Amino acid sequence: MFRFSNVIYEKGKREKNEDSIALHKLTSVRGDIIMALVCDGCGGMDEGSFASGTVAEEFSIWFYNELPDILRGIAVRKRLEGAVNRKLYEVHERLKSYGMQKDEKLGTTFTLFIAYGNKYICFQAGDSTVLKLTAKDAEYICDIQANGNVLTRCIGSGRYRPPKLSFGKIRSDTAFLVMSDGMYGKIKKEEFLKAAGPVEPADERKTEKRLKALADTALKRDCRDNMSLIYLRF
Amino acid sequence: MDISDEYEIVEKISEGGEGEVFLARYIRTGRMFAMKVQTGDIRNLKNEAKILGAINDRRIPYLIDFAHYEDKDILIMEYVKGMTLKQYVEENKPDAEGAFKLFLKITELFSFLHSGSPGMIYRDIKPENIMITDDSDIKLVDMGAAVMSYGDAFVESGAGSRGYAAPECMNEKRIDASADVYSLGVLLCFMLTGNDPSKPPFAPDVEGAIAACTNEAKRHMIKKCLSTDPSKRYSDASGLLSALKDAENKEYRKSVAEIFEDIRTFLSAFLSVDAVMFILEQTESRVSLLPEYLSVFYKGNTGKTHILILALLMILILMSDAVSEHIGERRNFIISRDINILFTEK
Repeated sequence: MFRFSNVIYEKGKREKNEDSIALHKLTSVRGDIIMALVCDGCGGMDEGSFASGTVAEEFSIWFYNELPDILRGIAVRKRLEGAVNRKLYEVHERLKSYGMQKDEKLGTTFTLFIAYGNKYICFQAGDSTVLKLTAKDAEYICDIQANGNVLTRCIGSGRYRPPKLSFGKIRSDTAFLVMSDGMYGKIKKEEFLKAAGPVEPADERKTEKRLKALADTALKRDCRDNMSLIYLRF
Repeated sequence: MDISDEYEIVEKISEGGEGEVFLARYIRTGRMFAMKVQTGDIRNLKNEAKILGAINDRRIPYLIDFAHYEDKDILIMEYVKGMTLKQYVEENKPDAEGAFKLFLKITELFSFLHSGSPGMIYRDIKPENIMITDDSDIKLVDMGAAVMSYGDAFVESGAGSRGYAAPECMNEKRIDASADVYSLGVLLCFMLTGNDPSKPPFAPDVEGAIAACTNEAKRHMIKKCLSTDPSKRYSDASGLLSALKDAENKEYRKSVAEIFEDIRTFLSAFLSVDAVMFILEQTESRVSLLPEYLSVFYKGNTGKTHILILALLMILILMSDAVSEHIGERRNFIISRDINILFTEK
């Protein structure tokens, strides 16, 4: 069912890229298992990339070591929710402790999209998000947790609040964009739909070109943030 | 950075083509690190630093710093405590089962490295470059000969260790991940036999390795790895890993299947005798030699319980195949690793 993916990872007009992204895919006897993760670090140059990078690394290892065992059992969604929360809490506390030692405030947004077989589940903390594209429609499946520029949920800073959860079925001719606010802040969802909507024939190279063109457009519209995007076409 | 102010050399660990490796103490924290000092081609040390920085995995030493001191390049990385695979095999002489278990871990690591985007062709697989840590994990050291590539790699010079390197590594400019597969095959032969191919006649003990294998799938796997024609080997370590798991599964399934077969035979025999006795009792045939206890099981109220037990036994026999199949599926759940991307400026 999974066809192809594309990735945008640009620092834009910033000196350093504080975003971190991870995209992993396994083929199992029960179908494809895909993890797309976007983390947008905050707290200044090195701290931001440290926070987002730590989360991305830890979940990359978690994907290979723990996720397959969860998916081949029963009550998958419940167990997945528990496992992600446990892992995220562990990383949150580590980052908090690191920040206290260095007397710095650091944190990261967290948007984790997992596709297994014909289902998906999405965990969201912060203002990165997931946009679902069908042939005719574009819909954000995660609520953005921010009040203007202030994050209302952030990993590595303050009290731990579990990420918000959304889930559903993946139908064929659907695409998902997991992205940081640098991308969606300047590009409307209709523009994403026009550029990368799941129309036939599915063409990986053309989609990549169009997504890069969108990133250039965002820059021209005075985007001052890092731009990260993972595109998944089913 | 002035290295002499930051680090104190404790002792020399090893010496290789690209440099000398020292155990060094970071003065501020007292923590130990490995310090590789360039003696050979400078590009190899820079290449190694790039690769260590690009790969995030607990089985690869993490990069601390790349510095310049007194006209030499210095690579500072995680110090791996433990023994080399060579020492481990020579001291512990693992049996075939232990060797295959360890080889599975090694192949999983190379499957991960080959399936990255870009993938990594290591080019110098040998037991001296694989460490067994104190907590029985494996770590790969010395990335000096490794190349990152999306498929084939064009290299400026040959690389590898005599006896372990694939034939094309020493001569050709174009190699792919199947070169590592060859070296993994040689490594497995060493682990199974203890015969070191880096000594004359510089060839793996294939016969000894094959004799140590317990099924045909493993024998076929070794021969395929050691094919001199790269196109006849597994294309990368992921292919080898699937074959290895399949071969192990055949072993495991055989034993599980045998157990279920035995249980099924016993139950079938018991069921048959039991059913015959039950029918005889129902038709009131008299068998004068019936032991007294049989009358307890076939008469009166216990007769209904008996029928229930017989029914349950029949279900158990039918379920045995399904359970065996499920166990097989659990062992082979992951078929392949396809995408492995991690971008961060951490």
